[in-house]
Amino acid sequence: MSYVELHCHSNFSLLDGASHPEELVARARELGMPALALTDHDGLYGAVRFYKEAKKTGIKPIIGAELTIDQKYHLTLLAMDNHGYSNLCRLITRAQLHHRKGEPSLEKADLAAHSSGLICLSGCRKGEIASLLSENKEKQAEAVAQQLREVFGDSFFIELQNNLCPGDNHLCHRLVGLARRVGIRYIATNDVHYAVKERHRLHDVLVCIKNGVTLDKSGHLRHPNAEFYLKPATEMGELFTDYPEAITNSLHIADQCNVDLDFTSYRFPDFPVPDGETSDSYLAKLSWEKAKERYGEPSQRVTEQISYELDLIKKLGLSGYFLIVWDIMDYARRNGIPAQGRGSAANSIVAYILGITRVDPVRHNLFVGRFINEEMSSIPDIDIDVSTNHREQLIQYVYQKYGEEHVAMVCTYVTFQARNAIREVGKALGMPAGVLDQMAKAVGSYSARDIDEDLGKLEQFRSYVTAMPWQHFVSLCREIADFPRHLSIHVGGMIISSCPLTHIVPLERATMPGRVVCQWDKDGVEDAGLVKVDILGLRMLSLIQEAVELISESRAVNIDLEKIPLDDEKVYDMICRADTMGVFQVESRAQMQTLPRTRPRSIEDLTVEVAIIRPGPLQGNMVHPYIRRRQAKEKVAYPHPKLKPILEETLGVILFQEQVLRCAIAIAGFTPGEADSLRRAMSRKRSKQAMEDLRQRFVDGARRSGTTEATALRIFNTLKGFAEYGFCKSHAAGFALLAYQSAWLKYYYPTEFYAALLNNQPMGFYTPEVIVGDAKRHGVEVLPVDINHSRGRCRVENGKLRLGFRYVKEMGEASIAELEKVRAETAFALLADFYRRTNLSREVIQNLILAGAMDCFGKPKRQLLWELGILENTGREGLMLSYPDYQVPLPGMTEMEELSAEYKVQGLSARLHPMQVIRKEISRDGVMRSSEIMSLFPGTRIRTAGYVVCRQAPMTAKGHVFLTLEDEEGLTNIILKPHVYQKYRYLVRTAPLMVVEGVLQKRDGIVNIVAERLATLKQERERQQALYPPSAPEAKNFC
Amino acid sequence: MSRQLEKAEEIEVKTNIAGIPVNLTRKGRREKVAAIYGHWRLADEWWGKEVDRDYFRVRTSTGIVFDIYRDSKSNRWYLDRIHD
Repeated sequence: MSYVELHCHSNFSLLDGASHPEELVARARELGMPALALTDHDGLYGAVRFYKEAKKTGIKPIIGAELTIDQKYHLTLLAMDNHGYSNLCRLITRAQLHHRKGEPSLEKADLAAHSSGLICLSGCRKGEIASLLSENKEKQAEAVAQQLREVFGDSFFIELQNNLCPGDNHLCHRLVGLARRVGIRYIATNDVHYAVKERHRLHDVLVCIKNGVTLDKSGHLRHPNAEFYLKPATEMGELFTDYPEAITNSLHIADQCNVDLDFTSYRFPDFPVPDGETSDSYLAKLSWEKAKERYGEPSQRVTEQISYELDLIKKLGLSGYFLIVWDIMDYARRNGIPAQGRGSAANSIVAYILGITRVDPVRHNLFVGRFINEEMSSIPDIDIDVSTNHREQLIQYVYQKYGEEHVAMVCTYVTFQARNAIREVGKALGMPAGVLDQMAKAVGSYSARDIDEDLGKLEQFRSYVTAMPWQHFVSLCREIADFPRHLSIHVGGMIISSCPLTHIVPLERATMPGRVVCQWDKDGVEDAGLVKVDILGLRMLSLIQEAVELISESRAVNIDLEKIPLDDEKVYDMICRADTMGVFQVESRAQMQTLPRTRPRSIEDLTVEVAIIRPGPLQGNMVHPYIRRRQAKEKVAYPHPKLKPILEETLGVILFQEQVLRCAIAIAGFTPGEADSLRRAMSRKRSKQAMEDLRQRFVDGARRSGTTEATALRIFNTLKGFAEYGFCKSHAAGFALLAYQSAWLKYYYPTEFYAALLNNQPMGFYTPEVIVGDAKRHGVEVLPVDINHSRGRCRVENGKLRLGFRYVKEMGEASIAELEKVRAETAFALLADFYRRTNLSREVIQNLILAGAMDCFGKPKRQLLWELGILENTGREGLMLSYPDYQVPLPGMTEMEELSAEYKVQGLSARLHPMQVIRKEISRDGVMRSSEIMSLFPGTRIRTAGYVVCRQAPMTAKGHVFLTLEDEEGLTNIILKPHVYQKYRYLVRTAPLMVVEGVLQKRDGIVNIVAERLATLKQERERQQALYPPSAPEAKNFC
Repeated sequence: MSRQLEKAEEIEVKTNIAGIPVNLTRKGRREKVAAIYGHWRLADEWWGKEVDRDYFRVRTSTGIVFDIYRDSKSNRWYLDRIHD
């Protein structure tokens, strides 16, 4: 006996399916099912994953969905062929877009227009026919059956389910009766919600999460039993002994369903080319034209490379794709939108000459095989970084160019990981919210699979670990790991297709009003053979453009960053000093610690710097050999003489992915395609067997070209070690250029640079308050917000940096616009004048006063607040009487009060650094300023204090923790050895200001303090007060 | 009309090879199962006092319709409800 399950939910029936599509396929295989359908609610989210897995496993995938009809009924649809599949996509899209987000529903009347190629099953207990029968409305039920038969013809079946729920036998009996009366065939399904019985627990929990209730209070919502699993044919046969054809019909239906989810032929639209041209000829024409613009008369090497790539692009059928991306970039260029191609595309000279990427691959000796090669099976990614401020404009352009029907954003699934799993599973189990909050904050691992091991170790949760619900809790968290929870919009992925997208994939609403996403994520899109273009917002591009505009505005100097010299000694000097706060990619603490050692002096050096100081290479131990070789402390060595030309630029260290490819080509004679599969295999978790095969091929190839097996194996292992962490050189080169440009701006135009940096927050490593401190240390005068001078954004005012209104809390765009409009008439002279002319709320005005924006009125802040209170009583409509001077003697604010008020309302102070104010209270016991430390000898024991700018505990540091403290004069790096950290763990994690005692360490111009003792500033203040009490009054000498 | 027993009453049930009741003994009186009207399963409260029961609605030779269940853990049978 055989049976095929035709009603099956995966976890892409969000919060209603308790198994991954892969788990369902695996179970179906164990049960010997020849085919399996996936019918998630109102969507095809998991269809590609399911399809791919089923094909791989040798089970026929049937694509379907359970649709919501008329907002309450369910109906099961299965695609017989690709036409039916397209209809399914259209119906789902209609259900999704015609109703509110999250409440998809299709009108029954809409089915007829798109019913061909679809098999319709009458649905579960919530199907209209079953519902009507349960209400004893036989005639109406029959009428609905007739209607559906008219729409779907012989492809309409009555669906029988017996999940051993009360009433199931009876309902099946009535459904069969109806089917026989009306003359419709019937079929059995099991309304599957999980692969195996044991998962019913997780399903119960998911139902609770969905409804925001606990297990105890969800009896009416949950299934009454655990019978909704994939059942073997024998069990199904027993359940339907009275209706054996219900089982055999499942096989007949499965036979009729044949869908192919390969949409490669629709992958991108024909790019509109001039008459007489094809995509190939037009791309070639454009490329040769642009090559002349770039190079004048191109060299032979350039010409050869262009010809080679154009041939390859043509052969791979990618000319249209290049033209599409070129057109987007061309639009950006024509409209002054900063954008550049990222990733491996920068290896391509065609991408470079078309203006898609900004790095010359010939000059930088890049390798196109990493981007495209003859053997590639998937489409290469061309991703675009665009100024964050202009991203939407570029996206809108793509919509307009190809039409809304052909363009959609790719979705992404927010999945269950440790933190949200703890909170949501725990809540469903009824665990106390406070405990769950602590657990979610304490958990260190990312995956929900590791919660047991992670939290189980912590003393504070010991009592829970031994209590009963714990085992349920951790095993449910383990099971729910990586389950999709809800849909979100991908940061930049768009698909553009030649046919309307609704023929290929359902669309639905995104949270952003008017925005539509497709139901597949980037993997689904790629697996279905479609092309995705990533348009990613990069704030650094916005920053650079804004700085250039500010320079033009304030100094009437027009900068063309494309033309600045890339070998400016002064810029490199600044980088080598690690004076890089705000500079792209090289501003982190780890970067600042290495720059004085690696001393980059060219764009090539910066390219290495960008690529090497990252967790991967640090973990792979690549960094130290490179630094030692760079400092000439270690001899540069190569694993094989043939590799010298490839590894020379990185001093014998394999750092770039392109190098892995080239090494495989040089040593083992691999083709670029083979070499790229080797890189991919090495960089991901692949099967041991696949790796073993590659190793053998590598060794064989090496032997043929005269390399011994031992050497070949050594090189193979070296490549393997590095491939995991390798960085794409072309990507690093693109980023290095931005690093240089931002450094150049910082060096020559610091005021404009810092203003732009403050205007593009949040970005990078540092908070605005720290950036303001750095600006001041670079001689930039920072002016507070001022109601008569500030604008929304920070700007340059007579060579000084004026903070903008955006930094003041509650000052939204509308308030700023209103203030500027009123101010344009005449400047504000008095608080009363400001109050009456603007319509800003009391809270906003209060914040402006506290931020110092009304200091221009020449009155203390407390006085202004008092006056504001009086004005509020008078009201805005009150007469403009000069109210009597209520000169109530109010105490002025202390510096400390002003400082904390400024931090409260704008997160920073233009005038004061916290340490400046606190300094006098802790200055008596040798607490040094950061500037004083620099001149001391290494080994000196010192004490210093500061505001904690960053805390880092990198995995690679084996328990060491790094702090950066800032005082009014600069930054100080602190190293905490593991035992010290353990001792002061709580203080390190929580104290904003601290005093550190330790030993000064200096190496290659890098200063660190190895901490021995820590104290909060409060503790230090109290200690000093006890040590140095205010001098006792002298005893009177009565003598 | 049906009446749920305040406390389920333990009974003896004999089943066929498929686990379907063929007769039941209540208060010392054996009754033959004449018809089975329904079969359902209840599995719940796995996080606390777990319930796992196989229910049958049966009509015995006396003409009375009972809801009886087998507790999966103890493998004992109980009378839960009487339909008049």
